[in-house]
Amino acid sequence: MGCPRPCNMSVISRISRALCAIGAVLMAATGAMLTYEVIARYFFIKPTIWAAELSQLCLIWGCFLALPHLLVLRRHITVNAVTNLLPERAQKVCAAFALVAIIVFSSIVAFYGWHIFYDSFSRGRTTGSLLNLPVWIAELSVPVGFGMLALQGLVELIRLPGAGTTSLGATHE
Amino acid sequence: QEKMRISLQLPLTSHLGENLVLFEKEVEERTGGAIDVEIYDSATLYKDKEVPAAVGSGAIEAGVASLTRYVGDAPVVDVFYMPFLFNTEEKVRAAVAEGSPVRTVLEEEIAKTGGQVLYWQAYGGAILLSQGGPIRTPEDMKGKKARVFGKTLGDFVTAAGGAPTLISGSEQYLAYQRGTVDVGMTGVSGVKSRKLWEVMDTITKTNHANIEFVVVVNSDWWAGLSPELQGHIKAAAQVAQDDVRDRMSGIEAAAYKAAEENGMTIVELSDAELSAWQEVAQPVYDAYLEATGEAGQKILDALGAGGS
Amino acid sequence: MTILLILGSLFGLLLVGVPVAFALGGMGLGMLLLGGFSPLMAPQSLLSTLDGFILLAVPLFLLMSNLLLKGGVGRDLFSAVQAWVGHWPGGLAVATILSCALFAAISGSSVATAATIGTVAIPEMINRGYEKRFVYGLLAAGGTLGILIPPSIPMIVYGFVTEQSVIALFLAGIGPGAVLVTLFVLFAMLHARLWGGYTPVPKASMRERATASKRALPSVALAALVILGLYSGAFTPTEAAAIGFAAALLITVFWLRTMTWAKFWEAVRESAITTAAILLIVAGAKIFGKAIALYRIPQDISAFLAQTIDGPIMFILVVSVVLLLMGLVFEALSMILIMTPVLLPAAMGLGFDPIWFGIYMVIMVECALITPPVGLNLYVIQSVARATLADVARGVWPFLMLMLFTVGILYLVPDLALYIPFKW
Ligand code: NA
Ligand code: NA
Repeated sequence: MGCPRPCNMSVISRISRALCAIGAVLMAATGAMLTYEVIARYFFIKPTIWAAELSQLCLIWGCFLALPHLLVLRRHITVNAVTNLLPERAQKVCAAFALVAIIVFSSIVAFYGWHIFYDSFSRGRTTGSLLNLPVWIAELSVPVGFGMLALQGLVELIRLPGAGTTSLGATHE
Repeated sequence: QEKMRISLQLPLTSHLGENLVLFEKEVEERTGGAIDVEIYDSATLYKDKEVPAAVGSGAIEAGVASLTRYVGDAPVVDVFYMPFLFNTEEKVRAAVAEGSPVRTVLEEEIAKTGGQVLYWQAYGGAILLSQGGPIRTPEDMKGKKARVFGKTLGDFVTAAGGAPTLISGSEQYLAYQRGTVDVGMTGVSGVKSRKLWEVMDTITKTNHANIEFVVVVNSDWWAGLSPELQGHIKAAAQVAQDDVRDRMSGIEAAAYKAAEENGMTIVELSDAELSAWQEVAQPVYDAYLEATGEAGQKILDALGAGGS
Repeated sequence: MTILLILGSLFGLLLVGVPVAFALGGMGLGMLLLGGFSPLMAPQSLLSTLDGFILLAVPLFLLMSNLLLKGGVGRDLFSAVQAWVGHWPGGLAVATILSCALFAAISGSSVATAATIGTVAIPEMINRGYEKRFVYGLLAAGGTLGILIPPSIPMIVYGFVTEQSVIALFLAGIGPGAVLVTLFVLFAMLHARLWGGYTPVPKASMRERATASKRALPSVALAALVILGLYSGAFTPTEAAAIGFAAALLITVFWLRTMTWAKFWEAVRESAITTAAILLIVAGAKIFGKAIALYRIPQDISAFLAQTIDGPIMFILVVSVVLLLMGLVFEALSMILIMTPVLLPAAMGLGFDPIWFGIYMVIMVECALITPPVGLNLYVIQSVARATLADVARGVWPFLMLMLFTVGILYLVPDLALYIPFKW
């Protein structure tokens, strides 16, 4: 409403939402894999070679995929003790500043994260662990997650003037 | 003045730390302070496993990494983990000597990561720990859970009929105390620094693998130095490398002594037991050759081993 | 001077409302760029943080407790404990503390513990005429047990950043946790004797006790399984968390029959969101930690502390005051992440055990959770009870004293923490 390209923006938010759901599934999957691992090792003395590494990969991807949607939900942990005392206009200025900080940080991280990914990809680096997967599989999560986070940050910044909330999150565990 | 920052996983009080301090002193003296060495110990900047990427990408000028950390870039490095290939000090010294075929091949491979090996730091041999009796033969390993710290060592345990379990250094003590694993594996100096005698009573002196650390510098940073500075740094590296290699047997002897004084039994393998281990180890060599191809074959040939 | 500038900018960013993770990560990245260090360190740190196997325990413990929560275990636990001790003097208060302790053995978070037990216990206690402020304080403080009794997310994070054994930390939390529970129970009974004014609960019949216990039993058994599994070395913390998740699913689906697809998905989603928020802060703190290490700040502060502070008693007194002050405005995880790298080297130099110091940090962080103006547990109780922050804060101070008293005991008897992991 009142925003210039509502359609494109809701596309980005919808992608973020879907990525978060995928992230949640990945994290729950770690539970299944590691339970299987304990049973295999404890009862059959036959530990898997994949459970530990795949679940680690799921955690990495799961976390970074969830980040953009956390911004939509305003669930990034934030100290509101001071900003809560300000008038609403000033609160929005603070929130805009915080969003710019997030966008700048995420863009830089995504940019250099891409370099790291590309370097490992072109060198064909592997983890050298029991499963010996290519390293880039994990590293790709940084440019994807933080690239999306920067985009989502931009969407939130454009929407901020009309938004009901001002803070980007709460002091929560 | 040029800064040379070096990342180290271990504390300055470890023998690798002391050795880096010696290197720092040598470099700063030789270059008249033109190179300012800064050591970031205790993994304040990077953990061991992050060092190859950090140095290769130029995020830091130099770092100390366990050689096996390069196995993802260059599988050949795990030749030092080929079971019982390096079970005497002479064999190790021959393999790591400047210009030896093994060292040349490994350093060529590591160079492809954007890092250049400056010098090698000896860490000693890997041993097995147990409670209530030694692990003399593969028979003793059968059906037991054993701590490992890498793929190749895992292959070795599997080949011997055990179940390899990855346990980090910091969880080692409790994993032994609580029986999460039955068999421990570490360098003998780790027994001393972590007081593992409180939880394990026997060391089997297998020396089934040889643990080496390398001090690696970023290739671009290195190429940007004047030949004169490079010469000074190389000379300093030589001094430090020889020093730690010469002291290593003394360090290990002291660790064994401390272990014995704290009530551990130290068991050496007889020739018959050794060959029983070597018999089951063939799959590890096969896996190595499969991963490394021609380069691996060349190294094993140079050492007169493997391939049967 | 640099130190003050850096800390000032960090606090500035935090206070204008930049989320904690981005304030820490952004400060770190800015310092790297200004100092001519490679910005590649930022993405490298983010990746290497999440590559820690121990941190997998975070989503799994969250899944375990969220499933049990959605399955209504909070109410079951409280009813069962109440059936056994409700008729004691101050019985409901005692039941509340014991329920908090039991739920703490399932959950790694203090907020979850305070919210879960608070939702059930507060209306019950108020109806029976317990003094409001006492009730609020009791629950805010009782909730903090969530991070002292294992499992504990702050302990996982402390173990991760200091490379200490998380099992040892978990086991070390049991002793001080038991002391704190005992002190809280004694205080609750004393309060009932001295102030009274509530309607006692009639003694439950054996049949009522059996019915209530039957519903609570599987959750208690699960908590015992997790702790005994860790103690016996059967599982690593991460595996214990995975088993806990699987068992929680079985319990809520087959035993309690309270699980639905909608609740299950809600628990999974909620755990993922909390995990991402927590681990991003850990990762941001890692970037900041590297940056300050490159500027040699922890070393400078450690050296300064070593020079100016005389002996371990002075050290603990000074550090406790600093942590209490910091705890007024900071939340738990940020405190542990910012202060541990600075304090631990100095503490170890003075001969403190790193595991002991971790437990000490956790209790100090618990204090931060209940001191105004920023105290998560205060907020939780405020919203659950629809009370004013002032009322909650006033109810909390006797419990704060008991917690600081426990720190004193812990200092005098380090084995309170260290006996179970290392000597038993
Ligand atoms: Na807990
Ligand atoms: Na507080």
